[in-house]
Amino acid sequence: MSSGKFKLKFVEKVFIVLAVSLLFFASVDIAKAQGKLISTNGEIIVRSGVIDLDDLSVEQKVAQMIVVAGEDYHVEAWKKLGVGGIHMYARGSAKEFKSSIDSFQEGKAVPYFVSVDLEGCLNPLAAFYQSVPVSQIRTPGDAFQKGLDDGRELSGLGFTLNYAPVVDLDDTIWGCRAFMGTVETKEILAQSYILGLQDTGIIATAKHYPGQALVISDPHKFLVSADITEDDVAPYEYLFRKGDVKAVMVTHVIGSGAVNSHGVPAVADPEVIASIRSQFDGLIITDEIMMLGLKNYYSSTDELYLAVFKAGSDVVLNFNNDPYEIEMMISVVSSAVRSGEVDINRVDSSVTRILEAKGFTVQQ
Amino acid sequence: MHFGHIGLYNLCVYGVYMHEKYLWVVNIALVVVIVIVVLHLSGITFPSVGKVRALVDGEEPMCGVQYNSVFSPVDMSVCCRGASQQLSCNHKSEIVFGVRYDYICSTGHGDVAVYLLNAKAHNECSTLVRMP
Repeated sequence: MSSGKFKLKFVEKVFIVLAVSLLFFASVDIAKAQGKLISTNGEIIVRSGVIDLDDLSVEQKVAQMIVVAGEDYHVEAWKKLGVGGIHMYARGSAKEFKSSIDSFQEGKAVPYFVSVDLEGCLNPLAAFYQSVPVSQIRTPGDAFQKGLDDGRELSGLGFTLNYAPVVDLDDTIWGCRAFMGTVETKEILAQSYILGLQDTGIIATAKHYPGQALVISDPHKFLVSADITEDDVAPYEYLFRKGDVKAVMVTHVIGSGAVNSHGVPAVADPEVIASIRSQFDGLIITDEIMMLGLKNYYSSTDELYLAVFKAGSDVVLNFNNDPYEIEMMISVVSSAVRSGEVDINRVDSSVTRILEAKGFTVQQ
Repeated sequence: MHFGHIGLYNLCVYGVYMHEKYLWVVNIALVVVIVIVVLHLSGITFPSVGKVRALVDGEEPMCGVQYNSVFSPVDMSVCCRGASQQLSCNHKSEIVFGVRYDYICSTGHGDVAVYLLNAKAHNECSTLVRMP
């Protein structure tokens, strides 16, 4: 066979170049989709249960303040970014939950918060666990027992944080998420539920501050403006005074009246957050910030991220499914921290609360 | 068995030969695919089927929550967040107060609230969040 017979025609050379190029770009694209191109913020150093804040980079601090959606295909991406928590959606079995949570927590020196919305009639565990709707709870004893039952189920699966109880006074949409009765009854039932849930090691979250989040709204509008009454905030003030609840969730309602958010969503108003902080030293958690209403309120997601972080919440829920968007969020906020636009002392206080809630001792 | 000829038919395998003009067609197709992949890589994505359908669908997005036979409409922001957390969305039509809903999303059986969405609402949510 002569060497001349191996000569490729021009069209064949083009084919080979194109095929190799496609293979290369497709491989990079797949690696990107799997989160392999995400920057690594590094694991936080823990020495005998003690974390020195000076050991943390700004990116590590900001990442700790973010809870993301716990989709299995993002295990690697979330570990690289070092986010503070994962939120689990419904699964078909206890085994599915457990193996997923285990794979997320594997090798983590600082574990994730593993959160869920188990509120009774919203039950992501419904495929295998029947939780009594809070609307059927009438006595403090039943509320405490429900807290215990929910907590035992959740802690057995590996959860650490439940976004419950709902203490909104009006639940006209679902009719089953908030306790029934007078303001005083709701306060006592919520407190009993919190005690039961937290007895099992699960952090309870009173939501949705300042109230009016479960009222029927116009399907064509995305942000609710509400006149907040003294009664709306009474359950929060009661729970703060009692001092047991470990977290509170702030919603996107634009409040006026007893809680004035000055024309912006409550979650983005520094005065609203400062007002909570003056009464409560636990975790202040935002409602999910990718909800259409809040997202559409700002001209860009960068603006949204900065508004929420500047307002002062400790934990920010962002269930965007794109790890690169979360990476961008960390980058935008970290730059703002470095430039002084977001107060580093405020960030340090939040990270301290988060790490302490995870059981670590924090040194400054 | 031979693994390919040489010369004009260098790129043939198992005796299936590709003529030069067909190879040009393949090359053009490859260029198109590479452009799409590179655009995707650089963050420029094409709209999903759900988004395209939502755009061309003139219907109003409708969504509601049902618990113990009580139905309440909810805004799309609440709807998409809630529906995305369900275990499954079944394509099943149901008429409630004269409005047809095409998807029923729930976390399972028992005493739980379910989300009802029409096709437009489901498509809109699909463009924003991962829907079950």
